[in-house]
Amino acid sequence: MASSSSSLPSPSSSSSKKFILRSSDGKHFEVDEAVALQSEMIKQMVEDGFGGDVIPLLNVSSIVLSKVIDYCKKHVELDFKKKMDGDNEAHEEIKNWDSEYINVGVDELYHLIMAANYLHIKGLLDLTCQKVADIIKGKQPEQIRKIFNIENDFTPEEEQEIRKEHSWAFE
Amino acid sequence: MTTTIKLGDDGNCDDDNGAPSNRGEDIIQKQNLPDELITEILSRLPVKPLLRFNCVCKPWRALISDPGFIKKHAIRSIENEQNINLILRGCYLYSVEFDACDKAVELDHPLKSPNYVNVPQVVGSCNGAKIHPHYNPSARQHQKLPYTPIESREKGYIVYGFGYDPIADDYKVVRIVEFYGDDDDSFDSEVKVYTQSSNSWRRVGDVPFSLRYKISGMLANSALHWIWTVLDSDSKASNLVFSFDLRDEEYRVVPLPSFPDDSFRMNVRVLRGRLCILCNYYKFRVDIWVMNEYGVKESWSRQFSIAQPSVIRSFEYLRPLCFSKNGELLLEQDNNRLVLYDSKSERARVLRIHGIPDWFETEIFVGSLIPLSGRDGALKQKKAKRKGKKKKRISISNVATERF
Repeated sequence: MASSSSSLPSPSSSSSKKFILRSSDGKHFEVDEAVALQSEMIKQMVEDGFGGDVIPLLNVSSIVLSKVIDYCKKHVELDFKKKMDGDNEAHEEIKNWDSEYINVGVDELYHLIMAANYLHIKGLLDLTCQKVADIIKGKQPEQIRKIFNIENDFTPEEEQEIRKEHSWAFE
Repeated sequence: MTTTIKLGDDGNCDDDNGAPSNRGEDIIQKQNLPDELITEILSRLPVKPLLRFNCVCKPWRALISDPGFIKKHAIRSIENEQNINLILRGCYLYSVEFDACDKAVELDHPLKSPNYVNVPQVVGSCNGAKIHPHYNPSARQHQKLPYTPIESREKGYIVYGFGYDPIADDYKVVRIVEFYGDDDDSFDSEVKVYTQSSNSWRRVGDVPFSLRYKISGMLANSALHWIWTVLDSDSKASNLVFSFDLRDEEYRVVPLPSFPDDSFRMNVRVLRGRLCILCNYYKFRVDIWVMNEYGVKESWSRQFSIAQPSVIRSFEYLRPLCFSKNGELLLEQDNNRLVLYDSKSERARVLRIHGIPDWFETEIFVGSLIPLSGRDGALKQKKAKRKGKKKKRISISNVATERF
């Protein structure tokens, strides 16, 4: 399932350097340097001299990595566009693309958050965390416990007291 | 941080775990979201759900009341222009969540009472926290300020300003009282500053000139701003913007741009933390100048020029409030409508919100969890909450509504 973007005219094609990323299940992904360096973690590895032939990403499966690479590619492209065309249009395009991209099930969302955190991709972390926040903001505590599989460690009396303290937030 | 979120101990699911979920939202079950990611997610929530999620579990409660988290949440809200709320002051105080903009909800504030006719004046907000009289409407907390007498004379115009002094790490309230003598030319003032750390008022230097409008000071760059009317040697009046710096408590004149045409009525506002000058060319247009670099005359730029009747049919005046997520400028028009203005297309549309009053004054604040109790901890705040309502009302209303 190895994929390559080399056939596409890429804004970063001036830097012909490629990186090969290896997912946790052993699949290889060849990406442009600019795309790989969207990840602060990979950037750090490269700076520290670990950016050899293949960069192993032990915590990211091929399915998730391919989705993450989609994000990084698009953002390299749009950042380039932003520089060329000025702010407004590209800004609008990024926003629309992001909202389409993040329209995924919670399972996928969970894996994307974990990957964004592991790879240190700030934009993707922002996007995914905001999406979870949007999903949970209208929920009640019982639903939250279920979503995050949290055990309620309050006694009924304690919980009642806290609810009373912030009663208007439950209206 | 004291957050050990217990996520995903396997086999620990609720008894109705097998129930079908049409939303697919419970799949994070059995997964481990590390603490730092829970913090990242919760710091993006509005205040209301955060207060609700206090009772999810003990670690969440510890996180939500952690000062570091509260600060992170407030900074994120301000930077991302999220959690913006409008306070509308009409016959009552109403709040509107700007992100949703669905309905105006009457604020259950501490000065509310059926036999209390004055509606408290909203003086200002800062650090995403507060409006005067020391009230955090999003977390529904308030703090009563001690009474301070007007020492010089009996009556005068009173205005307030409210802000944060980052050097002393202290919240301050400024009260200016202006007195007029028997003839119009004599002018006198009394200025006092309240600091939260001391919980007391003290006198500072008087203002040398009369305030053009008796309205609350505008907070930008840790200074409050008003307009002075100054008479030159030919008795010609001109307007100056001056600041009262909350850090050194000095008055300074703010450099203004060179206006191409100065036949306007001037006012000051703040947009995105920057000082703005409103130039109202009566019946023609309103120009909004923004000082991009505080204190630098050359940094003023005319960012908006909103004409009537071509953009907005007819208005007496406009006051800019904040920006929407789409970058439209929210304006209050003539105290009776809210308008969203898109500067790209030069179009404006009325923002319709269910339940807003016919007449109102609007202030904005950013929802936050910042406690009002300051360094004395939560105890003081709790005590204040329990104290008799009547007593509280008298002293705060004294502060908040003397203008009316």
